[in-house]
Amino acid sequence: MSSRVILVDDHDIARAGARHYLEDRFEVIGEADNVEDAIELIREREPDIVLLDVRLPGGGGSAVVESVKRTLPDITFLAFTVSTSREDVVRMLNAGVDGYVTKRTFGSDLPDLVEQAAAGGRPISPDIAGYLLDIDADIGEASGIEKLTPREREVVNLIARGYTYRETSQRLGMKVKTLETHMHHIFGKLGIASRHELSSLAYETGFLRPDDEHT
Amino acid sequence: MLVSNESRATPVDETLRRVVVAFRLLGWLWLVLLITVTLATDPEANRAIIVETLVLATIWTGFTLWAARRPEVLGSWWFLIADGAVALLVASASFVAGSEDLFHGGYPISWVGVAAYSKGLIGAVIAALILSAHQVIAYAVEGERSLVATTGNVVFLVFAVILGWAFDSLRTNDRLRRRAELRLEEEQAQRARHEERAELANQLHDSVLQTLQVIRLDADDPERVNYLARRQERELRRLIYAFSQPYEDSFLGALLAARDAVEDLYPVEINAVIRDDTEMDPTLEAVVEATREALINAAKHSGADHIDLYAEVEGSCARVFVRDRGHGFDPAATRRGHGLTNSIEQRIHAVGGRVILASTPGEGTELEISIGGDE
Repeated sequence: MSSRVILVDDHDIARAGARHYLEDRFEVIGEADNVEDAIELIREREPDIVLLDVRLPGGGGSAVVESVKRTLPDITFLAFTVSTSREDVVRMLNAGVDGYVTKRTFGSDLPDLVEQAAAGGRPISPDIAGYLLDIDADIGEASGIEKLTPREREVVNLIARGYTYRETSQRLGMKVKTLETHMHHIFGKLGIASRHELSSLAYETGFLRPDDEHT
Repeated sequence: MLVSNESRATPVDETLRRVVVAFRLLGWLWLVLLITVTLATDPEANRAIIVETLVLATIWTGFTLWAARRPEVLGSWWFLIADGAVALLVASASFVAGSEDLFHGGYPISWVGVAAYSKGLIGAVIAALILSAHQVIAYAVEGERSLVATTGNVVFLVFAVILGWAFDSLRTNDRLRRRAELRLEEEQAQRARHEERAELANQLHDSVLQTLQVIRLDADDPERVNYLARRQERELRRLIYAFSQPYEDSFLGALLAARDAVEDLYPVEINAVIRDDTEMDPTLEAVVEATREALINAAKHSGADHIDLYAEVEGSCARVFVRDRGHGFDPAATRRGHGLTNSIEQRIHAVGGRVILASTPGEGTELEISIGGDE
């Protein structure tokens, strides 16, 4: 049975494009163009995967993930966006997104990436891998947050250089499953680091959202 | 003129408060001096009243100093009335104490300063009139002193008018000036916004709109449409990027410029991931040149339509990877790879760096350029 997908994006053309590429291999069961509708639709239909834009009217993609993940932890969220600002990446990572691909990857690669996300593979685009390395590099020694291991850093580095998962695992001589486990750990560690970065960012700008505290 | 609260925190207001304090201190000093003389030379005067007056005036002057740092206190009705009451008490003491001469000096006048600060010209004039009336009545009750002395009251009024007028016009000018400045700033900001939008509209018209027109004309030639769309995409991306973060003369800027130049020359898309940035130096100059050459090689010979560029800088170390998924070749079996990277190697070896070439037939090629680090 093919995975059931919901598309969340405030641009009609972007949703139509994603639908076009995904329809053959997935069952697209709904679309939403803002945070409120997206949350309602996801709760109602309980899809396997949500393809989620980062900039959305009504609070942004992170608001959708935060709101739904608490009650429905099994839904996979794949951020799919033109935004490659570090703050957006950090915010989504903190919200608990399961992958982050930029729309530059648009087209024939998209179904593979969604498949990967559905299998728990944590797909990321090369530019996002660059941010992950940045976030890791910024973790202070004294902060108590766990940094990436050299092996994990190697994995992210290869992805930043444009290697696919298959190529990365071949190059490092590991199974794709092992690579996926690595990505799980990487997301876990950097999710914590992103929370840290987000709160310092919030304090810097004098703006602290209550949601950032209790997760 | 009534003084609105918004003008209480301005530099002009601070100056006016200083003037009020200066008058108060001057009046107090004058009072202290006259009281000292009276105590020394006038044995008939009631010493208890004189000393009490001095204590009261001194305490209230101290309180005025405290209030002068708090515009909301100095400008309040209660302070104005209390200040007037003290001034009238001090002015009355001279008469009640039965001294030969009046010893209150300039202290009561300093109330006019407070009134001018608090309520402007009208306030100052009313305060002066009250002080004058008090003097006239006191003289009339005592009946001893000459009427000539009471004409000195005119000084109160003249002083009040000058002070009140000066305070008011300073405030008015300041408010008008600040309003004009604000308007000017708004106008400038608006003009800048207009210019920016006009510039953007211009660029969009010259690039996107024209390309779309050409695409419509050439709609039956898919190859040409594909080429135009790709070129337009690149131009638009660059436009958006330049708007969001105009890159300057740095390592990142130079790499992106090289990327743009190669994309312009060859039908390839180059995805650049560049971590951190640093100022350019001759070594990095060589790295950028070598990168440009590597990008051109990949665009020309690999057959791939997509190239990945990754660069990282840390302190004095820099690493650049140029990767394609094109034909690839066997570096050991052919001399072709060596020929391709010859000039890149020369450049990088000249600045003490390393070049590593990895290629597999059918899987593509990756070139690593690194300087600094473990060697």
